[in-house]
Amino acid sequence: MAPMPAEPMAVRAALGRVTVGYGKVLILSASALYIFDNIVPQLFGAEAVAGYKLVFFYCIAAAVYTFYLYMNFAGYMDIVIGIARLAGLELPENFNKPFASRGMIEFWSRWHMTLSNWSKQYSFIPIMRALMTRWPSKAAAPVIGIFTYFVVFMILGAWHGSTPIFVVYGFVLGLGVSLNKLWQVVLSAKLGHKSFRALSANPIYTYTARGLTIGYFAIALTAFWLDLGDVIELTGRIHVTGWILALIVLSVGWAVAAMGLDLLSKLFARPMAWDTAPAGLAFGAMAAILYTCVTAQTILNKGAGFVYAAF
Amino acid sequence: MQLSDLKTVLGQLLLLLFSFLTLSCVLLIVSLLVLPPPDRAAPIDTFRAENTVYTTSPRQIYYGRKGLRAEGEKVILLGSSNTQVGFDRQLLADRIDGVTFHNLGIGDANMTEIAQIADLARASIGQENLEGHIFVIGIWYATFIENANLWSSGDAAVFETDIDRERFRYGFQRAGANGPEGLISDRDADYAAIAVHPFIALEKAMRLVTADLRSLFFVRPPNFDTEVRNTMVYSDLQKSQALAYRRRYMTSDALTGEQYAVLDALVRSLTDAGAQVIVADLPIPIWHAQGIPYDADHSDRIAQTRAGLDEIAAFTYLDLRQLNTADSFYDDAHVRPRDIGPWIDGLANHIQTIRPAQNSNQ
Repeated sequence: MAPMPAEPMAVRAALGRVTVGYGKVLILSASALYIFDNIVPQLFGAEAVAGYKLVFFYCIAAAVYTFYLYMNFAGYMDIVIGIARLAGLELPENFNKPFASRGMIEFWSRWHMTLSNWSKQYSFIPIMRALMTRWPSKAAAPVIGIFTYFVVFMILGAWHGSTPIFVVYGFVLGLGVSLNKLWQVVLSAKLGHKSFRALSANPIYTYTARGLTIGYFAIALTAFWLDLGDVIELTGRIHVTGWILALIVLSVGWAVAAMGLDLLSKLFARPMAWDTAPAGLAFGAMAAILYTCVTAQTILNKGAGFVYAAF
Repeated sequence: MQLSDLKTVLGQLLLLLFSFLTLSCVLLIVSLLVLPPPDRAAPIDTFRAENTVYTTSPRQIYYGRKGLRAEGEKVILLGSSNTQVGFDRQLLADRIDGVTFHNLGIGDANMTEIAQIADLARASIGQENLEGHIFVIGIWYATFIENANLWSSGDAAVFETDIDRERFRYGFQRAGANGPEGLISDRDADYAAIAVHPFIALEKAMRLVTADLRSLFFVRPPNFDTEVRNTMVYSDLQKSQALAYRRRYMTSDALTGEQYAVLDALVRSLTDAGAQVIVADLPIPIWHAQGIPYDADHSDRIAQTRAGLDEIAAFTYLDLRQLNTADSFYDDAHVRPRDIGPWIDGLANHIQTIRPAQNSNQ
């Protein structure tokens, strides 16, 4: 890979990318972790809340953790990609607006894309090919597809850790993508491709799907911050109805938030292009982000390590 | 990468650095104008730290110590939260003329942290000879909790107190093999704090803005006003919860000599430098003292420690534990504002008896 020559505007854009990365890690992710660390102790032990409040506090913890994980991971990726660009190198992106996903399959094409692509290349395609060779029936293809999704994501989930909870995580991920695939297969068969595409473009369907996708993923991520014993204890206290309620609260919460954010971005937001903005504005904004990073770190007084280093 | 590429990158980095420094200067000026630090003459009162730009006691002690640089006779109050509450700086100052009272109490401090604060006070006073100054050390059993049980490291040798955390927060100092070390000495920290004042002011602003939100979702110690502290009464359930909490807090079932040795060393160090030292043994409600094993243990150990210190002329022991009527406390350790009089009388009278120059207005 030959380095590209450094152009001042490209360097400024790369610095902007690095600065935004630091902002994500040191301000947004660290603040989310602070909130998370103050909420989780209230789920268990002497100061635990109960009933609906417990479900609500769990939902806050799950939502905040999801936000923390994304900001931390995506922030570090921004830093790495930006620094590489300063050196004239172009690295692959790892995220592409995952919170805009309308289903678990789409989500995994936008989240941790390097791993997803690797997994597609080295497990999904070979398994699918082997099964299709063994049972070459056209009618069996959808079933094989659903099964393969389940197996691949089961492996992907279990890959994250060596404790039993990660098997549960893999199962939940596998269940999510295979249900998503089943939904696509059944609805396409029932409505036809054209009607299904029309339904997918419907705003109510879209926001419902976006809400359910992120709500489901936030619950799946519980495996990253609770062990199996805690999950069993929590289930004993909120029951299955509590988990369903949590999925509804998280899904509705994200659907409403997504609607609000989309509306705001249409009304106000002008994407900041570091390379075309006036120099004073660009460097002023970068300085403000870095200053806020320092302030946030001195207030929170804790480091902001790379969360994925633990997996 | 070519040399010309490197120059391009460095040029853009310098522009970013210049922008950052300019913004820092602007914010420094704004923060000093909007939320200024206290002036040099202001006495320190950690009981009212929340009303200052520093917000918390450790931050006020570390960054807002300029008041200790002022000339004149000082009484420095050290201890944990019951010292902050019971030895009200303002009430004591009203009782005795010609001396400045500074309350450097800090919630949940043990003797190790109290000794750190005493060292900070000495650094600010800036004199080898402490003659004319009085250090009051408020104690009760919980000030003798071992370092390994109090600080999160769980290690008696390597730990970080609230004061250490402030030392390290802005990089003034860092943890070294032989204690904190770094660019800025304890004496200069209050002046160096000017450089980080925007961060301190921004934190204050953030706390003010998010106070309601944090109280809604986070568990924080309740903040009672004077009227509530005068009238609230612990139920039997609250008493048993408080005793259970204290047992969890102390971790082990008995006190060891670790922190009594720290008290002994602190008294000797201060009196060797010429200061008068009063160790004030503070009361707790009877139900609290009788409900846990530590208070009786403390009585035995403090008697032994006193026996070793009694030979020092500048050391005196003030026993206030007879003020342990259950009704005079609003919780398990803190005196009600309406019942604070005997605490103030006890300490003020004692100070009068040991002061070289009697300037009392009583």
